[in-house]
Amino acid sequence: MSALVEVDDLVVRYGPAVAVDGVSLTLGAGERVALIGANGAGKSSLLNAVCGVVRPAGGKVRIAGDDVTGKTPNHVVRRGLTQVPEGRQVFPSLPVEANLLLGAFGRSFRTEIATSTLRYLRRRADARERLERVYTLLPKLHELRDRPAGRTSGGEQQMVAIGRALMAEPRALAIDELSLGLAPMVVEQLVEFLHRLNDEEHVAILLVEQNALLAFDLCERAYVLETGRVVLQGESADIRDRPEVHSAYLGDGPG
Amino acid sequence: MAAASSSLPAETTRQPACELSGVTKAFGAVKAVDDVSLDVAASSLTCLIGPNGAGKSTLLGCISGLHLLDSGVVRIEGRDVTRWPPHRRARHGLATVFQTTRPLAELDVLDNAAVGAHVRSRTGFVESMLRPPWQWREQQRVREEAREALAVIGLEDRAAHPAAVLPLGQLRLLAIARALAQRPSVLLLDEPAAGLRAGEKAHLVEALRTLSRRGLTMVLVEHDMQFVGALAERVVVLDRGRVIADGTPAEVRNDPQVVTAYLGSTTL
Amino acid sequence: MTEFLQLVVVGLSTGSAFALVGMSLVLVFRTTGIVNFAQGVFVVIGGLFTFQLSDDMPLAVASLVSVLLAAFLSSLVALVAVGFRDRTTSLASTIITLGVAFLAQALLLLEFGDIPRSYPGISDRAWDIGGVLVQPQYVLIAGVAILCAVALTLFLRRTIVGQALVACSDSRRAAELVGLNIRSLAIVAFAGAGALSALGGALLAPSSPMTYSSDVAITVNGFAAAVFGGLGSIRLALLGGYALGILEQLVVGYIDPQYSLIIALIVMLVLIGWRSRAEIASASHEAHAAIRRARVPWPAPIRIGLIVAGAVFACWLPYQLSTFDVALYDRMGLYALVTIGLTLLMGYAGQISLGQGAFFLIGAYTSAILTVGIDPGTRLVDPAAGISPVLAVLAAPVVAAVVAAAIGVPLLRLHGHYLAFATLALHLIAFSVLSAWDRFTGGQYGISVTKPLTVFGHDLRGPLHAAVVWGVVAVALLLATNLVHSRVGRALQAIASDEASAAASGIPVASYKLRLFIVAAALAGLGGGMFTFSFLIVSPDAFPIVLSIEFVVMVAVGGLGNMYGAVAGAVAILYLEQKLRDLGAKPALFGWDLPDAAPTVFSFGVFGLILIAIMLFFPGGLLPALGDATAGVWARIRSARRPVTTS
Repeated sequence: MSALVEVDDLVVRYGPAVAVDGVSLTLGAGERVALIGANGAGKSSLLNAVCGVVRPAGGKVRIAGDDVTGKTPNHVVRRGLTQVPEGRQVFPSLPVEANLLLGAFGRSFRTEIATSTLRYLRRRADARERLERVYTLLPKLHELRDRPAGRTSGGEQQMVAIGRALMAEPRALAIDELSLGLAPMVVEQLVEFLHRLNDEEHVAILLVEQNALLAFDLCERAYVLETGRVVLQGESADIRDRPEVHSAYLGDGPG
Repeated sequence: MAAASSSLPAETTRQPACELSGVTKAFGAVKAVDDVSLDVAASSLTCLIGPNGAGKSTLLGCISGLHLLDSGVVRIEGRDVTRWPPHRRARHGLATVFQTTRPLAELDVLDNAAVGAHVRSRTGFVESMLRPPWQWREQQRVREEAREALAVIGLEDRAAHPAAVLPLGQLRLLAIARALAQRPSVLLLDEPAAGLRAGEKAHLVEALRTLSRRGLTMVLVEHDMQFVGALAERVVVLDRGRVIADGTPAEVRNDPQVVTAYLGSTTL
Repeated sequence: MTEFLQLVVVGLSTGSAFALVGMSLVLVFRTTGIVNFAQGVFVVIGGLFTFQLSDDMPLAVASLVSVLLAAFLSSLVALVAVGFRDRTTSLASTIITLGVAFLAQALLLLEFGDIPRSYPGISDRAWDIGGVLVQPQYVLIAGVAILCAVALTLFLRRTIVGQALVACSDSRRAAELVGLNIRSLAIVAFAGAGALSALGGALLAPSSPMTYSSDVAITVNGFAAAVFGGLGSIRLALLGGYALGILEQLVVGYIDPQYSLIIALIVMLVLIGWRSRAEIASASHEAHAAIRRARVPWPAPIRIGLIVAGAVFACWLPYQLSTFDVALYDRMGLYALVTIGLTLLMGYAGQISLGQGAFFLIGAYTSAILTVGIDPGTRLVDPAAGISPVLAVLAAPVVAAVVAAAIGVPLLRLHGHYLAFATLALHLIAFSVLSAWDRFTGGQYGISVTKPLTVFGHDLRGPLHAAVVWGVVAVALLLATNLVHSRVGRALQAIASDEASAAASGIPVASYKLRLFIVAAALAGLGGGMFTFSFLIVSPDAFPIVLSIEFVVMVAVGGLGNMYGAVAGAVAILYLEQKLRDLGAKPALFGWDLPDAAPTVFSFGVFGLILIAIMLFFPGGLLPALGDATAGVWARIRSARRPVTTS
C-alpha cells in the first residue's frame, strides 16, 4: 500500500545552513503522524519543502503517487495536501467567511486566472456546501463569519486557518506548530477537534510540534528530528518514554 | 580566574552589570514585554527561557537598543542607557549576537571578526582614504585583537578562510568572535544554539563556559533545555511578556507554573 | 474668488487623472509589492492610442479599445516585472518597471513622434457657473474617477478575485499556501491598473495634450497621490490626487507654473518621509539583489601599482584619439567619477540612488556660475567677473556635498523603493530648478563659459582635459579602494548586510550612510564641475532624467561593489550609446525610415532593455557574469585537455 504522502531523502538548504539533511517519512491515508523536535531542528523547513513553499535541494516528495517535488503550493493543494501555517497567517483585512472561501478558490486555481475564476463560480454551490460543512465542524466560525479575521483571538484564528485549509477538501492536513502562542485550554479543544476530524472525515494529519506531549497524545506515529535528521521514529506509545525524547524537551535529570 | 561554581550566587557588593526596571514594550495592542524588572549580576551567566512568543527576543532587543521602550529603565554598569541608540551602547561595553547575524561573505573570517573591533579603533572616512601611517598601525592592532577573539572561540585556524564556506556551527562561533572583538563587559546572545548539531552545541557550551570563567557577564535567550542546563547559573522564565520564575535550573525545572506554561498540558 | 474657484475646478480635472494613477499604483503595490514606475506610461497610451484610433471610429469606442489594449500591454509588463520566482526581489521588479518606462517612451516616440496630441472632448462649450467656467470634460473625468474608486473598492471587497488580491497583499505566504497563483494575480492587478490609467489618459487628453514624455510628471504626481495613503488605500489615493491637482493649479495661478512640479515633488517627499518612518531597517535587505562573490583583494602595493599603470595608459590614450573620440573619452572619465561614488553607495552601503545626475548637474552649474559671475539683473556677463576656473571646479564638489548633507538626513531614513523614488525626485527637482531660476542658470540656453580651465599656465582643452580627468579618476579609484579595504569599508559592508547587527557592533549606521552619500555626491559634483570645461558650455539637455538611470545601469553592468567594474561600466555603456547613436543617425535601417528623433529613441529604448535584462538575468552585474562565464569555459577547456585517468 503506497502511502498518501511519501518523502524520500529530502534535503533543504538555506545558504550555508543545511536545514533538512536527508529525511524520509510517510503519512498513510487517515493516519495521524507527528514531527517533533526542538526549535531549529528543521521541522518547519521540512514541511515547507513538502508543501512547495521552498524548493528542496535534493530528494523527492510524492502525494498519492504523484511526484510534486519542487512544484508550487498550488500543485500540492490540488493533490490533496493543505497546510495550516505557523502563526496562523489568516488574511486580516478580510472577513472570516472570505478567508474560508478563498481556501476553496485556491483549490480551483490553476495557472491562469480567467478559467480558474470560471471554474470556481461553476462550483460555487459545492463551495457553499463545503462552507456549511466547515461551519458544522467549527461552529464558532459561523458566529464570527463577518468579522475581519485580524480582529479575532489567536485560538479563533487557528480555527479560521484550519477551516480555510479544510475548504480545499484535503486528504491530508499539514499543521505547523498548532500550539504556538495559544492557551493550553484552547489547544486542548483544537486537539479534540482534530481527533474528531480524523475519525469522521478521514483526513490524515501531519503535525509539526514543539510540544512533544501534545503530539504524542494526538498522533499514533512520530518522527523525532534533530538538526535536520530523523533520530528516532516509531509508534507514539513505544517512543514517548525514550530518553532521547525526554532530554530534547525536559533537559537531563534533576539539576 | 577561579572557575565560578554554577550554584554560587554572584557577589552582592559589586554593582549589577545590567539592570532592568519596569521595562515594557508593546507592538500594537500586544505587550511583548510587560513590566519586567531584572538585575543581572556581574560575571554571571543568565538564561532567558520561555515558550515561543514569550517575549524573550524582544527583551533582549530592549537591552541592546533595537527597540525603544514604552516605559522603564535600562542600565548597563550603572549608566542609564534607556535613550541611547545601539551603537552607543556598544561603545560602552554591550555586545549582541542576533540570531540573524549573517557573515560578510566577501570577507574572510578574520575580517569578519574585525568588524567587532570597530569600537576599539578610530580611523574615519578621510583617513581611511588617505592611509596615513598611524592608520596602518591601527589596522594591525585591530587584526591582532580579532585574532585573539577567534582564538578564544577556537576559530583561529580558519582566520584566512572566506567566511562564506563555513558551516553553520562555525558561523555562529564567528558571530560570537565578532562580538568578543568589542571586548565587551556584557554579552547578549539570541538563541546561539539554534540549528546546531550536537557536536557543535557541545563546542559552543565549552566556549561560553570559558568566557564565563573569564568574568564576562552573559545573558542568553535559549530554547534548548539541555543546553541551558549545562550552562546556566540562573534561569529566568518568561511567559507572555512577564517573568514567572527565576532561579537555578533545577528550581525552575520543577516549578509547576513553568511546567504548565512551557511544556503544555502534561500527562507526565 | 472666482479665480480661486476656477483654479480649483481645473485642479479637479488633473487631480482626477492623478487619482486614477494613484489608485492604479495602490492596486499593483498592494498585490505585488512592486511600485510601477511605468504607470504614467499607460495614461499616455490611453491618450495617444485614442488619438490614433479616433480616425477610424467614434471617440468613445476609440477610448474603450485603447483601455483594453492598455490592459493587455500592462499584463505583459506584469510578466516581465514579476520576474523569476526565487530570484527577483520587489526592488528589482520596481527597477524593471523603470526600464519598461524608458522602453515605452522610445516606442511611443517612434510611433507618434514628439508633437503633443489631443482631440476634442465631449463638448466644446463650457458651462458658466457663477463666473467659473466648467468644462464638461472636467465633470466627466471627475465623475469617472470617483466611480472607479467605488468600483475598485467594491471589487476588492466583494468579488472572489478581488478578495484574492487583498489576500496577496495581506500575506503572500499564506496566499501561496492556499493555492493562489501570485503571478497570475499580479497580472490581474497590472491589467486593472493599466486600464484605469489609460481611462484617465483618454479623458484627460482633450484638456492636456500628451506626448511620449508626459508620463514622468504624471507618474510622479500619481505616486504622490498614492503615498498620501501610504500606498495602501484606494480612498486616500483618490483624495490625495485631488489635493495634489488643486495644489498644483493654485501654484500655477498664484505663483509660477514652473514651480508646479517642484511643489508636487516636495509635498511627496514630505509625505514619504512622514509615512515611511515605520518601515523596518531590515526590509532593505531586498535592495542587495547583487550577489557578491568572495574576492581576495590584491595586496596594497599591487593594487596601487595597477592603478598607477592604468592611469599612465589612460592619460596617454587621448593623444592617440581623433578629436571626436577625445570628447567621448573625456565624458567616459567624468561619468566614471560618478559611478565610482555610486558603486560605493549601492554596493557597499546598499543604498540605491536614482539621483546622482542631480549632483552632476549641481557641480556643473556651480562651476559655470562661479566662473562667469552671478549677475541676475542682466544676462550679459562680464568675463572679468567670477572667480578663477580652478577654484570654481574645486567649489563644485563642495556645493554638491553641502546639498547632499542637507537632504541626506531625512532621505536616508527611507529604504527600498521609497528611497529610489526620492532620489529620482531629487533629479527632477534639480532639473526643474534649472528652468525656474533661469536668471541664474540661463534656462534652456544654458551658460557659456569663456574662461577655460587653466592649470600651471596650461589651458586644459581637448586631450589635455581628458588626460587630467582620467588622472583624477585614478586618484578617486585609489581613494575609494583604500576606503573599501579599511575599517570603514568593513563597517559599510556590515551595514549593507544587516543594519541592526552593524549598530550592535558599534557602527553608527545613520552617520556612515550619510557620509557615504556625501562622498558619492561630492564625486558626482566634481565630475560635473570638470564637465563644464570640456566644451565650455552647460545646458539642461546634458542632464536629462535618463542620466541618473544611465549611472545605475553602468554600475549594475560593472557589478555592484566592484570599483574597477564601475569604471568599465561607464566606458562600456557610453561606447554602446555612441554606437547606437551612429546607427540611429543613418537615414534608414533595415529598410525602415528612421525619424529625426531616432538617436534619442535608441538610447532610451536600449537603456530600458539593458536595465530589464540586468535586473532579470544578471543581478550580480554583467561584467562579473561574463567573467564567471569565461572562467567556466576556461575551466572546462582545461579539464577537457587533461587526460582522463582510468583505474
